Amino acid sequence: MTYISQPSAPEVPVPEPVSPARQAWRMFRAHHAAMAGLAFLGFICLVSIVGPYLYTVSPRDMVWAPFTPPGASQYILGTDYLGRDLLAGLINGGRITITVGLTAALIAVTIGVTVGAFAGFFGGQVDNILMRITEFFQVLPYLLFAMVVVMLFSPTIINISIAIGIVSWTDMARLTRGEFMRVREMDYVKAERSIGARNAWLIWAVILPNAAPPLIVVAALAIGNAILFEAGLSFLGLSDPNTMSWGRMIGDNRPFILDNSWGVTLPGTIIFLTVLAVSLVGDGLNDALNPKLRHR
Amino acid sequence: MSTRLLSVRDLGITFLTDDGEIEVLRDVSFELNSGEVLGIVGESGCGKSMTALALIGLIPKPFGRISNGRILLEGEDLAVASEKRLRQVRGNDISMVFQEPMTSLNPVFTVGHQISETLRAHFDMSSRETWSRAIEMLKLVGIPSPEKRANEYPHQLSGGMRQRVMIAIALVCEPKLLIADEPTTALDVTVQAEILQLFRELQEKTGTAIILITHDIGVVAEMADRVMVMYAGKVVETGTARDFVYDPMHPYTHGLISCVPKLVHNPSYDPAPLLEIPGVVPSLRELKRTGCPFAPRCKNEIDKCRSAEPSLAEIADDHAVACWNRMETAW
Repeated sequence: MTYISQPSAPEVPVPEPVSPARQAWRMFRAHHAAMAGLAFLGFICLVSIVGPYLYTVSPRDMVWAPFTPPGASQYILGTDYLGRDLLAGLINGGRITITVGLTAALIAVTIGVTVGAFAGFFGGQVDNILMRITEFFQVLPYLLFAMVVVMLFSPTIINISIAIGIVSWTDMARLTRGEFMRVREMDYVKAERSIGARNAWLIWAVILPNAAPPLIVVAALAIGNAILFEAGLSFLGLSDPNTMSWGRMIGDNRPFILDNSWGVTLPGTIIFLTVLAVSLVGDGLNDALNPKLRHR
Repeated sequence: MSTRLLSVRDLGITFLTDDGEIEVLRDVSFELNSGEVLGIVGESGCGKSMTALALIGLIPKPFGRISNGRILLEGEDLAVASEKRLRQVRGNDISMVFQEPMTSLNPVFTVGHQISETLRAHFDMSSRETWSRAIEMLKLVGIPSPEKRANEYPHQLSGGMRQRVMIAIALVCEPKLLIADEPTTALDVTVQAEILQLFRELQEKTGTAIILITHDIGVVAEMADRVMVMYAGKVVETGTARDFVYDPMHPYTHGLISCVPKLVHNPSYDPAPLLEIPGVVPSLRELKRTGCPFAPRCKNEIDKCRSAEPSLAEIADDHAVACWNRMETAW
């Protein structure tokens, strides 16, 4: 009878194992729009990081006559109502906008995933309390609350990021909670329990990796939302007065939109393209990480 | 010679439902020696799996609880053990193989990773040590080219291979007791035979006691030393595997065995029609508190069955039955 315990007697070649992450990257690469979005975001980030060192014109100095249209001077994108260089504004503003966008999204994801994970994993009273807190934040008027936070504390980059972060984590928490509730009931979680896994291990090392795909998609989109939010706040003048940002450029140039439309449209276009790129990346991630679309 | 490993006494489990507390398990008592294989048989919903989950303290909370009885693992009562202690017991002393190998492995990690993480959770070992131990385990459970397979993800393995990996995970910490909850139900018949053979080989090699939960009579007859038949949360018959197959005394056990088709070589043999047990397992919610729970489906029913509930009574050495009107001669 011993022959029975040797399955598949001839040695079959075993295909190279493919990790889920690599498989997702393959799917993502096939999504051309998402790749274009990723390339654009890469470009924006690169310019934001090294741009201010290469293009040393200050975004705050008056460098030429006000209202100079693009192409009419050595400052190729023209100047705004104070004669400030728009290109320098875009480059330096990108830095702030991207930083705030990423930081705020990071804060939102951290709070949201933690709250959602605990609520979804423990359920019962814990879930009840955490979800009531989540609902409290959900019914706050987002912009108003963020404005109050920024006004109360000084409008620094970090305060703005925190303000945006704490008004936008609720969706993340709800999604995480739902995913945790789904994955929690999976057989492999039960199996891990049966061999003595701790709760912390189950939450972070077993359930979270399995719940991650939709969370990654939403986290990517959260960056886009945070960028828009930051633009909104600085349009209203609630940005760090010492820094340039895309939203602030729009806000500053708004009264002169009829004489100097490029002062508004240039940063507006950049914001639009950046958020679009983020959305495309999110879309590509969705395709790449959604198991139902895989192997089509 | 063999020592008493596990001793379950009067175990009762209740579940809190909208209709109040219902008893899922009542007065379940059994003993298990080290190195022994105990088969637990019964239809779905008889409390087989609940018994197993109780042993490792994984009764679904907060609704279920152990209401009564003791679970003595080498003298230590697990029914009242702390959650921390139970975590140490799980994997180390008792581990479990589940029914569904397709869903019981974490899909985002390689199987080697999962085996070595189990080790890491229980012992202070370096990742290099745990990895080589994982490969050893894969080899032990009969997976070809384990070095390569260890780097594969569960979806790349067949059902039988996955069940082998599950067994490797369950055995990696060398538990004293392995609970196999319908380990072959989800597998092809040929793979079933392989897995059962593997269980037997491993049991001989490691001396682990096994509790085999199944509704497959053939599996029990082949694997188990002793058999416990459960019905509606109660033990209705216990005995040796031989008694179970050749000398069942409880009408329910008798019915279960009659349900199994028989293969006969003689072509002129006219087989008796395949029997079934009429009716279904009663919902525990509707279960009458008086009388034998099996009475409504029983062919041997007498008046007494409706009025008083029989308790387990020893009728021979190591053979106990809970029945007022048991089968006289089996076949």
